[in-house]
Amino acid sequence: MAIIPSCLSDKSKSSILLKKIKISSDDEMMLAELCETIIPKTTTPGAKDISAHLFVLKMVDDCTSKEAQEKFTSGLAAFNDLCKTSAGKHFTACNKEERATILKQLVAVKDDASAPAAFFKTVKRYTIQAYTSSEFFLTKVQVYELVPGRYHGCVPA
Amino acid sequence: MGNQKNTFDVIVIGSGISGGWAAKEFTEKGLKTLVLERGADVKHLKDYPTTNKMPWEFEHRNEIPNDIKEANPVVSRCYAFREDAMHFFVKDTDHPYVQEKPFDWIRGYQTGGKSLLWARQTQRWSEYDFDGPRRDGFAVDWPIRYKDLAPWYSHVEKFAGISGNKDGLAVLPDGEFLPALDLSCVENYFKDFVAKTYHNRHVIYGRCAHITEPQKIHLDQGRAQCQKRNLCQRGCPFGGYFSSNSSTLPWAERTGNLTMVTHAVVHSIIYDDKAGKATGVRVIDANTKKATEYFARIVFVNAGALNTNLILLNSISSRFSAGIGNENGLLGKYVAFHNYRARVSGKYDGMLDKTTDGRSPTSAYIPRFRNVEKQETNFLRGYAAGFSANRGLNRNTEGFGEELKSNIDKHELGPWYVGSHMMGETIPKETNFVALDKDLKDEWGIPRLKISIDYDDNDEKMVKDYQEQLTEMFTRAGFYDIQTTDSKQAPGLDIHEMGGVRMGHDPKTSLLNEWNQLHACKNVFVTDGACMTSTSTQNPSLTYMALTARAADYAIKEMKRSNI
Repeated sequence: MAIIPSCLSDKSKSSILLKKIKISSDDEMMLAELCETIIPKTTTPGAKDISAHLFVLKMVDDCTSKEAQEKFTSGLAAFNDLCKTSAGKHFTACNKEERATILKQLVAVKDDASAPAAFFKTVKRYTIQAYTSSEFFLTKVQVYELVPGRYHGCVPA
Repeated sequence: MGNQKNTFDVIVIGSGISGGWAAKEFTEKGLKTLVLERGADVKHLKDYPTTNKMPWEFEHRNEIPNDIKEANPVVSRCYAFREDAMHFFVKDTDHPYVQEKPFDWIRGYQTGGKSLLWARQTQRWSEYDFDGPRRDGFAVDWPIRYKDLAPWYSHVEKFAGISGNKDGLAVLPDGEFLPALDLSCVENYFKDFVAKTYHNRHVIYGRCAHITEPQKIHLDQGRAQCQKRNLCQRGCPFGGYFSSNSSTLPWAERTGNLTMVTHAVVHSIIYDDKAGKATGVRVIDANTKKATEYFARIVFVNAGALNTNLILLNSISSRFSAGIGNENGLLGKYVAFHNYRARVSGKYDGMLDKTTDGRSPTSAYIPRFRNVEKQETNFLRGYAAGFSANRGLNRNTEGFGEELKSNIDKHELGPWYVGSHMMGETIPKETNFVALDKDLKDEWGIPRLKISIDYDDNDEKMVKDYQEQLTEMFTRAGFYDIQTTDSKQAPGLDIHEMGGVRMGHDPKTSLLNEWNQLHACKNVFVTDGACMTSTSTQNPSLTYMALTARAADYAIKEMKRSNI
């Protein structure tokens, strides 16, 4: 008889403990792909390598209001619907080109306030924050110095 | 008199920036000194849990979670209440108070108090400031002048370590300075421009409590050179900036004359009617709620301006039915603060081939230039201003994918961003007051403080003038995209609340004399922000430190003369 840990089979839950928002494991997987599409792995790490999607969830869950959380989850559902209508499948099942086509629709209209566009904007903002505040970025790309030890007021740019 | 164990020469209420100085001065002179701190102990180096954390080590990248913000709207408005230092702030729910008018009371209950968190700007007052109330006919005349405090400014500056330039300005006297750091190119440009363009306006390097070049006295404290981390609010592992924790308290401890008791909420000062003086203080343990009495010949009240008012108001005896020393009914009144509402910002496209390197713990400072020599505007007094200029990053975040990533990876400097904030003097008024709430008490059985403080027409005019003047200066200097804002923030968020126990010549119109002694109870001294007769425009901590050292010196002499 095999014992299967319940956490592996429970598709209604995210892999990290969230206090306010409910995210299914499918949604979490979708979010990981979406973040990776925003900041992809190239010769250097991308969103998945730094678990940007988990940061997005953590920030929405802990640092935004109830209204913003509701907007986020309903926006996520609307985003899933948009993928179905425009590509005929879930974002996770789309290939790279199909994913790009979907996102291009969302960035095409400036200040698009539709539910999927607002959702995408939130995900993108936190993904960029996850990336630019990641250990990789702050040690390899734009180096953060904990102890500069100096201040020069006027040096060549 | 109480038992031996609870009896000291001096009791100091509060371990913040002024209490720490009282502790240092008394213990150095051999007096057994008890320092009472209502919060938890914070030991230098040991109790700075976030000090060496990297940005990615903060769960919310330094943002405050929404639940905490919603439960604590007041402290959440403070610029320094962030994930890295939130443990050093009092949450709204920890010690509630009554806001008769909106007032953001920002507090730090721990060893060192707010000296761990302060902005470290240390500008001396001038003769123009001490003479302000007399000349302009508000509040009461200060019982001291610049010459009385000047040697004590020097005394505290040498020990604390103040970085600055000798600027030779009567409006902002020079002090005992360690070398200044650089201003940025555009700060220097603006400095030169203002000097050329306005005969009485100056832009200087903001003097700050940072050790730029350690002297023996700093090394003896175990402190080292400031390493320009600009993470001061976390507590500094180098002791690079001045705090009670890094400086005065460990110094006092080394004398063997210091006793520190933490979690000690002072309920009131004990007054002995027969002896005609204070004999000690009543303390409630913050956790167990157990009451204890401590006794001493002298009591220094350094609880932080409004808490000092609270303690005095709650010190009731048959002689003082409205609070100790309060024979004229003025205790808690004439509270004032600094008006920090307005900002002016802009951009500058000159010197784009230059930038800054490293981080500066200070910025430029514009001393008060309004109404200095004589009244010249439609409002009383004036404002100082901070000024800073730094390059921003041009970060193109359009689109998504590889292009977005490579845009973000580029380190492309943007224009110079210039910014200024006002620090306006407010006029103390009887109608701006604190009092004990008649019904509500805190969890230690002490009445809650009722705060009733507001802006007035003088403040509104000053905001407008600051915005107009800085806009004009910025425009003439060639800055563009100039924006003015008025945050309309409530009083208190400046964290410069002062007064309520003001100094003055006359016991009929003031609470304290020229030595910070209660007129009516000579062995009780108040040397924190509560003693301030007027506020002027300078960041006040340096003045509290100097007043404290001066008063402690006087108290010791008076003890020797057996006058107290």
